[in-house]
Amino acid sequence: MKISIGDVALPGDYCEEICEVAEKSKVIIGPGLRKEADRVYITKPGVLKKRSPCTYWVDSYQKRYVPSRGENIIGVVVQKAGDIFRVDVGGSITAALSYLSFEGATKKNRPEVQVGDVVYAKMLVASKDMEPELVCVDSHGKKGRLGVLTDGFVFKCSLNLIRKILNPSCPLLESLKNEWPFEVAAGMNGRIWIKANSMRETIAVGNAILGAEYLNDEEIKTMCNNIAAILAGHVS
Amino acid sequence: MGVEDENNFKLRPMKCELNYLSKSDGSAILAQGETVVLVSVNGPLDIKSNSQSIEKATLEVLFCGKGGKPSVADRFKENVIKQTCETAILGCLYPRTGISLTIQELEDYGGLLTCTVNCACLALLNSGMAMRHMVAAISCAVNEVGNLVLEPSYEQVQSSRALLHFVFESREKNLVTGFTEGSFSEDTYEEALARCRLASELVFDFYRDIVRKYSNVI
Amino acid sequence: MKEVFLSNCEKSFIQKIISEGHRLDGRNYNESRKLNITFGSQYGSCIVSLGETKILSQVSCEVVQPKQIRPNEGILYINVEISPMAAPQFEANRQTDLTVYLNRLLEKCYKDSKCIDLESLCIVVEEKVWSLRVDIKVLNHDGNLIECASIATLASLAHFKRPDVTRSGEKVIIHTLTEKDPIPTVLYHYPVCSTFAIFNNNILISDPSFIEESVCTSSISSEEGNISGGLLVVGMNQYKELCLLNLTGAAIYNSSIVHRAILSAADKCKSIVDLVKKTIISDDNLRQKRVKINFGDIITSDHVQSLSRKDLSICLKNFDLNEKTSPKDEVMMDDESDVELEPSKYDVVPSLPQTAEIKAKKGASTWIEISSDSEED
Repeated sequence: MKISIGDVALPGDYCEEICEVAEKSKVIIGPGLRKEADRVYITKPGVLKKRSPCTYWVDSYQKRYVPSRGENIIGVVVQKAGDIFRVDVGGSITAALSYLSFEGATKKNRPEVQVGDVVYAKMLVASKDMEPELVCVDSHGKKGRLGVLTDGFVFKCSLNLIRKILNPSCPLLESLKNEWPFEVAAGMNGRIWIKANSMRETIAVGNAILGAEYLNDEEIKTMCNNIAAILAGHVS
Repeated sequence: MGVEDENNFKLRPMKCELNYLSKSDGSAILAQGETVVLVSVNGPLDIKSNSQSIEKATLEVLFCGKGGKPSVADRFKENVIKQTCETAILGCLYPRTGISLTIQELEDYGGLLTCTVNCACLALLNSGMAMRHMVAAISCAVNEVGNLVLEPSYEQVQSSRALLHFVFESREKNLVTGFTEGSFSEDTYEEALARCRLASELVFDFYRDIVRKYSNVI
Repeated sequence: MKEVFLSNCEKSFIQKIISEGHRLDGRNYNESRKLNITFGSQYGSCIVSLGETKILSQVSCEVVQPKQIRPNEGILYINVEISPMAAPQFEANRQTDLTVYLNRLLEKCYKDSKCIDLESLCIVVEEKVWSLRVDIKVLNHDGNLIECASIATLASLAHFKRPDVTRSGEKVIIHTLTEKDPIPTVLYHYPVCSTFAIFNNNILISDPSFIEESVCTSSISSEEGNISGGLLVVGMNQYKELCLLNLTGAAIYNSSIVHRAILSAADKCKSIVDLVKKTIISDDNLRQKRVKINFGDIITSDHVQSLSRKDLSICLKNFDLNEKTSPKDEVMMDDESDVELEPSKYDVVPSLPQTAEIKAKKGASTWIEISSDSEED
């Protein structure tokens, strides 16, 4: 079936618009799209989106992570194997994280990472044919915000929810940050790390994030107010 | 050779809920008439190295009956579903991984296999697995007097002379899987194929409605 | 089966919130998740959901030869299956320790407690008896499988009806359901298991979720030394008689904990059995009115999105997702924002490497955002 931008897309549908644009200029086709012969077919169910000038993708629902280059993820160190750590990122296989890819790490000066630690890292190599590789430094050798996350709590959610809360137009974190202080790290692999001053506040952050999944912007704001009220003890 | 009456050119009412199971990567529960099936999809996952393929994902299908011991009929169903879904999934995007599809029969009142294929397709859609196309299964019975009955009920299946099952893909509505039981003429086959192909449109529209229902909130 | 790997921070967080008196999903210590029993169209088939844990149970019967030692008794056979449907870590057609454990506990609870009148299942002594087979299929594993499975077993056994049989001389006729009304199974008493997770050798938590179960059974080497936990399964019937006790994990040195568990299980089991009986009676009434009952009924389209989950795995006490703001809340929000204007409230500035940091500022905090393409050269 032929569809256009903004429509509900299902696998097997195709979009002629992309091909027409492609004749004039370069287009970027993102997740959920695939070029076969002279047509661009949809491979995932969702909504066909476009960002100017010519980037196209399908917004689809997904829970299982498939590694993709350049994404920031949250993983759990499951094994120390020689000079690499094996990190569970939720994909089909564990990712490798070299102990040298931490800020200031040398052969002598090894970073302190234990099995069971949670790391916030960037996907350096992600290809369907190779083991994914992570780094905890940027290209200048600085750790930035990457590295081991201590304390707090990690939970899983759908990949959509991550994209939703990271969207600059999403009011969730905007409304929450006015209520009480907390820290959050969102991994594109469907894991969120949260930490607040007290246990109850941490749970409240998690509650707000998970609760936001199927709400629209207005409802999210209302929910944040509700949670803040419960937290403040006004509602017993 | 004809159709009993126009009412038979109708599918049984379909009801579906996606993401019924929280732990699976994708799941769907589908009721077609009184037949109900639950399917869960997990993957791409790590699997044993001897069943890995370097070219594409390995699809593992498990069919669980309602009670009693697993039977040869279950293995047959697994095979049909495996072959059907392998054409639909873009397995080449996930080499050396496994995709596991688990089917649980909940109620069987005729047309279990068609319901299973449709439910498996919905579960795959829910899991966000890259797919070449969707599939829709339609069954058709030839009753005692030789008329075609689309989506036969349990009683109609028992009294039918032959049963024909077809699975179509969503791009060109080509036949993906087809198998028959009983004897019938070639003309009947052609007629049944054409009618089922038309009916498959309804199933694809149903899929679209389901996706539309949740696409505005994700 | 691959084990689910829990990170250290999850373990310590769960330990900590439980020692502070909270639970991750906002329940009280002795509060169970929502229990729901749905029956299928056939006798003896039901789906039981306990929160997100879902189990399908089906009872079937066939005529077999009785065992030599018990020639006048029917046979009860329980079979538990955990397929990859329950959770991705399970493999197909593979018996795991968990399956064996579940099977054994259910056998203890229903076979060894002699709750079923096996003698009534006899047709011809030494020749023909009914064999009841209970198939338990785990659909979704979100902790406390044993409690859910035992409710499913009980509900399906109590719901099951076998075909009537008449004997005329040597001949035995089995009537179909339409010829003669089927006969229900006779249950002397209704045992049900309930699970308690033990934290810190002291705290009892009923109906543990998957994460609570894994945390309390995994040993944590903490600086304070022996923090041991375990799972305690208590099987009881509606007369508050004990049928089964099982402990996994580290040993308890405090016997009062078992006593406490039994006391709390007694009331819980009673209420579960009452619920099972009530649902069976209402189901029977519906069947007599010839209302068609089908598993298709569990498919709901009443919530806006077919995807939305009913319960959140992380939840505050008293939180209701469907709750819309009442005007009362709005007023309260006003004084809330007044308080926030005091700069002193945001003294804590986390200095850890994170995506977003909170800076102590007047009123609202600001975010430092890190975009994933920040280092593309």
